[in-house]
Amino acid sequence: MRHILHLDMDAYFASIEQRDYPNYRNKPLIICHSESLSTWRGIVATASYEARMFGIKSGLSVWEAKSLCPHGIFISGNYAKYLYVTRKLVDICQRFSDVVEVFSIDEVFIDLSPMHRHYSSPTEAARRLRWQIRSELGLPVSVGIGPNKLVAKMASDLNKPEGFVIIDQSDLPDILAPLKVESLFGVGRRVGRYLKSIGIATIGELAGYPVEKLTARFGPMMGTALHNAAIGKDSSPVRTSRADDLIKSFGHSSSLGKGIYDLDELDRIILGLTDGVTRRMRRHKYLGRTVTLRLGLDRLLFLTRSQTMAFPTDLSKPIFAIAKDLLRKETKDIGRYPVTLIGVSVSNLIDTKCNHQLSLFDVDGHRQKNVSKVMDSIKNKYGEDCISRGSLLGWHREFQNAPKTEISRPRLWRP
Amino acid sequence: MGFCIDEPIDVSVVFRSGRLQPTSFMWHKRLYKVERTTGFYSDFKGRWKRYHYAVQTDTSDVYEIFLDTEKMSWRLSRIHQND
Repeated sequence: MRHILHLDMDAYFASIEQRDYPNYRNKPLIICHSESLSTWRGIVATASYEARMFGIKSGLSVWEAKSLCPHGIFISGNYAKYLYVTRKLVDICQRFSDVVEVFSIDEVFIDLSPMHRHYSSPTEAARRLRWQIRSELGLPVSVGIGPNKLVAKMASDLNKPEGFVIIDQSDLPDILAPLKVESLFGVGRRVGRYLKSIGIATIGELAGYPVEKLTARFGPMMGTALHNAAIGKDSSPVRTSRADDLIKSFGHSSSLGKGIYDLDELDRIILGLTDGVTRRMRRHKYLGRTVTLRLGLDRLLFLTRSQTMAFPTDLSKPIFAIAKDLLRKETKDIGRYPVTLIGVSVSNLIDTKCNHQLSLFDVDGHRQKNVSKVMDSIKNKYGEDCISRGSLLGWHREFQNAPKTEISRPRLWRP
Repeated sequence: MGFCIDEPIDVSVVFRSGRLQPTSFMWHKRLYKVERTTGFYSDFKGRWKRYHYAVQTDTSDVYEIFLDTEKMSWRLSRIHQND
């Protein structure tokens, strides 16, 4: 029988800051993305449990958070520090099992099944792991153990903070059935709303709903996945992965507060985001063909537009040109609504080491490649802020090093 | 609340258990005695490593200091004061 452990750090960024700065302990502490505090742009990254009592949660805009909790302590996130702590956390987990999957910056799956000979029970392994994390990192953690990843993840959510929940296969129906359908991993607001509209409010009701009707509405894959999730069935393995494994796309995005109408200003932001994306593509040694522009208009309307190039590239100029074109095609909507969110991503990736078709007519590419190479080597030596395009001066720090960066990977696991 | 400072400081340290441990620092001609180190992490700026410490002093405020291995110099980056 499989024993999967899911480890979820409680209010991760806030807990690290409260650990390091005793004067923030037992106070409502709100961690924001770095540009948020000076410009009122952006969103809350994490809030301490004291701040959550005022209704503040991740993803809330900073101004909303300030109106909910005016006496709260708002600080910028220190992502280098959080990554350092995550590396230490993974080191501790790897002492317990070889099969460790880093699911996100604050979540880890561990397959305890091969560890039976070292520990009397999975419970004992989990207790030791929690103790080790507490004593070495000084951080609170919630742990869930289940027969698969889906159940383990739900178990860790059941009793936060510092929860420790074990769900056996035999207890599954009793524990899962009364829970709200939104608490099921993979069920978002939109799916949750639809399920409620057809009279499904709990996981038990979803489990009893005919799978044929679910597949008719959501398609065969999603319908079956929803049904399996509701009955706690999941056979996906815990995958050990390197940080740069299976990268599917590179993207940078930025929230623009109350919004921007000016196309030239938006072009500048797109250029900054594109430079950030291509810098990371070159670092990870990938070329991409499909450019996607994401726009949020007045926080109400979200557009995604893509275009695929004939030849893959990791240079800013061609990617920026396409993103700019995609933006120009939406001028009708942009004239009516301000752009509140903008994002550029590149997908359809190939490894630079793979053979790929070169363009015969790309006369400027060689020069651009050399400029990028020089800029990369300067940044590698002196840091990211030391060199920038003249047109991005002033915007450089805000966008090129935007914390809201994404490297999306194929979904390794879905219920 | 936290305040950004980013100024050079002089730091006295001891090497203890394979780690660098700040014991006091001089900022604006005033000596601050480190009561305890509350946090530590390292990162890279370019190719050079930086060692960051959060240290609580006898004033009970917490100071973020770091050693820049490029210049082999210490800087005070931020102060977190008690309200």
